[in-house]
Amino acid sequence: MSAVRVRVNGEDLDLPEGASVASVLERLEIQTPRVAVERNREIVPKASYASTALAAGDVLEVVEFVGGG
Amino acid sequence: MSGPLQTQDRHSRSRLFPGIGPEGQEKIRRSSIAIVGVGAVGAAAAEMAVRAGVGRLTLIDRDVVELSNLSRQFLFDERDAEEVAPKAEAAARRLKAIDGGADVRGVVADLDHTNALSLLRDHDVIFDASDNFETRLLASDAARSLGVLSVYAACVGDEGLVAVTRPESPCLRCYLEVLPPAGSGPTCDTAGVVPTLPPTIAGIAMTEGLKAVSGARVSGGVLSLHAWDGAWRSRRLFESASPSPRCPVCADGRYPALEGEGASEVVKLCGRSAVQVAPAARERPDLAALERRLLRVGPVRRSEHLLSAEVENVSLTVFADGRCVVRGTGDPLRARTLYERYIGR
Repeated sequence: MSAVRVRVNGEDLDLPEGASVASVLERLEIQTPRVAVERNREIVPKASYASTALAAGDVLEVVEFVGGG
Repeated sequence: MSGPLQTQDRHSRSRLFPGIGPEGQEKIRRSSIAIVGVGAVGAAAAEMAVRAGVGRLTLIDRDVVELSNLSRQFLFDERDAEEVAPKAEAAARRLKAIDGGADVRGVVADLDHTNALSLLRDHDVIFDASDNFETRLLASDAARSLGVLSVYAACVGDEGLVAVTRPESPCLRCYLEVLPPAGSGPTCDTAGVVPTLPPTIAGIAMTEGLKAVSGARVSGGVLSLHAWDGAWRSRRLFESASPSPRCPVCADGRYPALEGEGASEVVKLCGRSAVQVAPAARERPDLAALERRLLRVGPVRRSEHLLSAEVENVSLTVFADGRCVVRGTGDPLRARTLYERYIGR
């Protein structure tokens, strides 16, 4: 099974073929709903995390929002 | 102010900085900033704004000064804590002593959908230093509705976020989509906070505020930083992101929070010293995770359907549908404050 190499927050990440945005969050151990993900400069809707398949070379930005002040 | 002080030039060092100059300083003097939340981030931001010469500030906070604030909150002192002074008023007093010429108004109130537009209008920047996502979404929707630039400044534990929202940027709702369920994350009162972090965040965020009002180019995207474990590090994310085509605010010009969507209901319960806080999103909170966080600060009992915790001389009972009954106070503002601190959203 070939790996898919994507870039997440500036670092390379190798994932199994067919991996989705949800797979990235699992790998980063992020479970919170207070997260935002950008894939190739577009915000990914939360409803699409599991169904958005990643392609080699995808550039992702992931941030967990904190709200305290 | 009179005598020798009057002849000195308070802002000469700002004017000397080429990026500001006399023109920029004059714009700062004529500017106005609304600061939502005068806690650790907001108080430091307010002090910096007044010292830097921002002409008019409106400070909004429902809370009172407590001893445990003094570890990290600027402006307040032991006397304010002894007097249980409202933060917005204590802050305004102290800021007027720093610069008697500053127009500083302290509003002791909870920002809600009935007062948000009237409190936030007529300012050049809305500075969000609040402590919960319900207020943050409200401030974000209000800023968009008013067509005003907003600055998001937040932190908990050892991580912080700063973001400037311009008309062409995504708004908070583009990122979050919905109000997070109650009890879904750490608050400074359950997870703690590095005491130097809130003023750091305030400094970074108010620098953007000064840039915005003086005509300098503000930073794009979201700045995420970590201040304790390992090397201090920061990363700027989402610099090229566009507003979401699914966002009701950016795509449809609708402002859900201003219509009361997401508003929690705070109701004094008849005949008892108890107040119920019912978050709008009646989702089942993760009671096990909430128990773990609350055990750090007091005794907790949990069953399948509810959780009961003792904190600060009150008890908080959280039900499976997210409702929380706060016993030991009849004051809705106090109940909401305690809810935000220990349950939070």
